[in-house]
This record gives sequence, structure tokens and C-alpha cells, in this order.
Amino acid sequence: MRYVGPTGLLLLLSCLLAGCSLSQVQPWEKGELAKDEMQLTPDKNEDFLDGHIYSSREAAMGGKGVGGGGCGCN
Amino acid sequence: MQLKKDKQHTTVATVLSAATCSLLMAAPMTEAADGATDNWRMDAGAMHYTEDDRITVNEAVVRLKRQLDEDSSVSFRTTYDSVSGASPTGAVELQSVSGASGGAYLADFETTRIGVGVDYETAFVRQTRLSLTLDHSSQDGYSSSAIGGTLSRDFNQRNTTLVAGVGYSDDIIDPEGGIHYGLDATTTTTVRTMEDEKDQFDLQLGVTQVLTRTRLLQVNFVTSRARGYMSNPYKVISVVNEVDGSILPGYSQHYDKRPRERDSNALYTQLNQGFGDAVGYLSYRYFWDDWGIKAHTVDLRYRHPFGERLYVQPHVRYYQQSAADFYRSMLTNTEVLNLPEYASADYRMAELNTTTFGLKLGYHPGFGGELNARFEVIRQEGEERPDDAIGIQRDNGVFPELDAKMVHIGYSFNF
Repeated sequence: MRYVGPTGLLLLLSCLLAGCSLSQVQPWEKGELAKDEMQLTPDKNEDFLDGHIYSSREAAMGGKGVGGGGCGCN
Repeated sequence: MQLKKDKQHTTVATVLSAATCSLLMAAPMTEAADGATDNWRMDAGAMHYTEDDRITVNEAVVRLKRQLDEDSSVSFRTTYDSVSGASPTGAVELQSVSGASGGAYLADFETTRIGVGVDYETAFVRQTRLSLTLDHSSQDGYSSSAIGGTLSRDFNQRNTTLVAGVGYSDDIIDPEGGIHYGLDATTTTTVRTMEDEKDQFDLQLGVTQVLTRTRLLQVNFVTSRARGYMSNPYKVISVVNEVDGSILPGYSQHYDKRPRERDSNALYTQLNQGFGDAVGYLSYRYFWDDWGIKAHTVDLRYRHPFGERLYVQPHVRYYQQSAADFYRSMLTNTEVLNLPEYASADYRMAELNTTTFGLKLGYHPGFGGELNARFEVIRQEGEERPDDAIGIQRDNGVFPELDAKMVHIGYSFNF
């Protein structure tokens, strides 16, 4: 994949923000979205443990958020 | 713009807060459907991870969350992990038959790590949330402290959430035996320092968008800047005969040396799609840094319920990365006279790919909470014959293939 760059990212973000006005989901329509399983991270422990495995076997890191610290993974 | 006039109305109190998922690493705030009578939540997990002929990891994590009031919560986390077994050192696999040693291909080690963390979340202005997170972990030879904060704001009837975050971490590396000068021969007894440091600063910008009643999209961008000691004090690079790749007597291996600066970026996107009671999760991450590494990660999970209590969730993940600019599978005897600025034979700096298949089962027992069990198999392969692999080493292949399995059992409940 080619380098996205900040311009591409801003374009994507503005499309999303513009697009949202076309599909305004009303508060009373959010029953499905309210379910635990529709969370972005339904199981934080799963995410955390996987993060340990992959960060100690791969060079890439992060992307989901900030904070958390590192390890002397060997 | 046409407003949808859906005739279905569900309890407003139940749905208002949960749909606005933030991009925090900590839990988004949700109100319990029954009116928030439980103030506490516990999530516990234990994992056993084992690699063929290499390391075994046992890890446990417990989170305890307390809802302080309608808008605020605090969570405490504690983790314990124990690692033992053999790990590739970076040395070539084929050592000399004449007795001259290029160094062990695998080295045994054992380490135990303890970590603690605190998360605090609060809504302090209408539709705006603040979250703070603190972490500290420690093991022999390495400790890490980190702090993070995010601010999220909802727009468009809570269909859009913008997040901005900042993070800072500080690691202390103090291996037993000290840290040697990078690319020094391992026969050298000189130690550069007993302790070194690395710190990292992260900036996050993200958006979560509700696309339909059953579809949610997140796009998150994190840029990081790390400075300090990022070499691995335990990894080495072998020196081989430039003609046939054999280990030469009189030549030693050299210590790993990586740059002291690393700027990296990660663009992460995730789509949640509901299919009736089932949910699919598709995510993609693109990572790139100034070490020359470019990586793609695709992850797909599909959660399918069976009845009220049980669900099954298959999982597949594929990861691929290019090699770091300074990745070297081996050095030659003539190069020793004119060493490169940086070099690392750590396979994690090589061109590689990781494939994971997994299955998770979840069950809601009569006594409450959720029990889950996860089983995953992982295979990692990499470039066996990079350009600098020579002779017998090239024929043999340089990448330490990995086969691993993982079991994770978890239990969550509110009380």
C-alpha cells in the first residue's frame, strides 16, 4: 500500500464527517449499537494479551490508542 | 437531508450513551441496561502461550473497575507474566564443524514481569470525555512507565466522536552484565554502561463514526517519536566467511546496534457490523517508520451467538512487514574492517509474516458474568534468503520459523 500521508488522512476524515450528515442515526435507533459486543474493544484483556504476543514478535506497534508502556520482550 | 422517521422506539436511556464509542484503550463508558445498580466490574484472564522449541509464556491479568458516579470511573489493572525457554540470538544456525564457535543460535532465558495500571475516565462537559491512564511494569533488566490522556468529543447527535490523545513512556534498560558498545565483538569485555534509557512520545487523532444502525467505523492515527536505547542487549550478529558462509576461526560475533531515534506512524481502521444478533469486526492497520519498516495487519473476527447464553467467535489475522534498513542476517569477514553504522540480525527486524487462526467461545452462566475461552494457532515465516545471506547459511535459510499455540481463559462479571 502506498504512503497515505496527512493529506489523505484529512480527506478521509472530512469525507466521514460530511458523510455522517447523510445517515443520521437517531438516538432511539441505537439499540443494536448499545450492545456490549458492538464496542470497538469488547474484550480488553484479549486485546491486551494479544498485544503482548505480537509486539514481542513483530516490529509494528500501536495504532489503537496511547498509553500502555513497553516491555523488554525477547 | 432526509431524517429517518423510524417507528421503532426503544428506551432512550438505554441507548444514548453506549453508541458513542471512544478510541480509548480503557473501556468506553456504558450505563448498565438495568439502571446501573452494579458499581464494580472485574475482568480476569489467564493465558498460556507456547512456541515449538522456543519459549513458553504464562500470563495473568486482572482488571477491577469502579463506577464512581454516572459520569466517572476508575480501573485498576495488574498483570503477571512469566517467560522461559529459548530465543533466537541472531547468530547463524550453522556453526563451524572445526570447533570455532560463531555463538549459540538459541539462548535460554527466564524472566518474570509484573505490571500495574490505573485508568480514570470522566465526562466533564456535555458530550466531552477525558481519560487518563498510568502504567508501570518491571522485570529483570527492564522497566517501563507510561502516562496517557485522551479527550473525546461527540458531534452529530453522538454519531461522530473525535478523539485527541497524548502519551509518554519512559523505559529503563539495565541488563545483568551491562550494555556493550553496539557492533563491538562479543569477545570484548568493555561495557559501555550498566543502564540506558528510552523514551517515547505519542500523539493520537481519531474519529469514530456511526454509519448505520448496525455499522460503526473507527479511523485512528498515532504518530510516535522514540529516542534512546533501542538495540537489544542480548542479540548478536555472526561473522561468516564471505566466500562460503562458514564460521571462521578468529572471528567473533558482534553486538546488535540500532539507531537511537525512531519515528513511526500507525493508521488503524476498524469496522463493526451487526448481522442480527451476530457481529463482525474487520480491522486494518498500516504501520510505517523511519527504520524502513512498513507493515500491514488485517484482522477479522465474527461473533455468532447460539441461543441466549453461548457465542462462538472465529478469528483470523494476517500480518506482514518489510525488513528494517539495517537488518543484516550476517556480517562478512571483510566487513568487520569497515562495519556498517547499524546492524541487527534480530529476526523481528526482518521481512516476515504472521498468520493466526483462532476460535473463542463465550458463555453466560446462570450465576452471572461471562466465561470465555480462546484458542489460537500462530505461524510466523520470514525471508529465508535475504540478499546478504551467503553460502551454506543461504542454503540453510536464515529465518527462525515460529509455530505457536495459545490458550486464554477469561471471566468477567459485574457486582
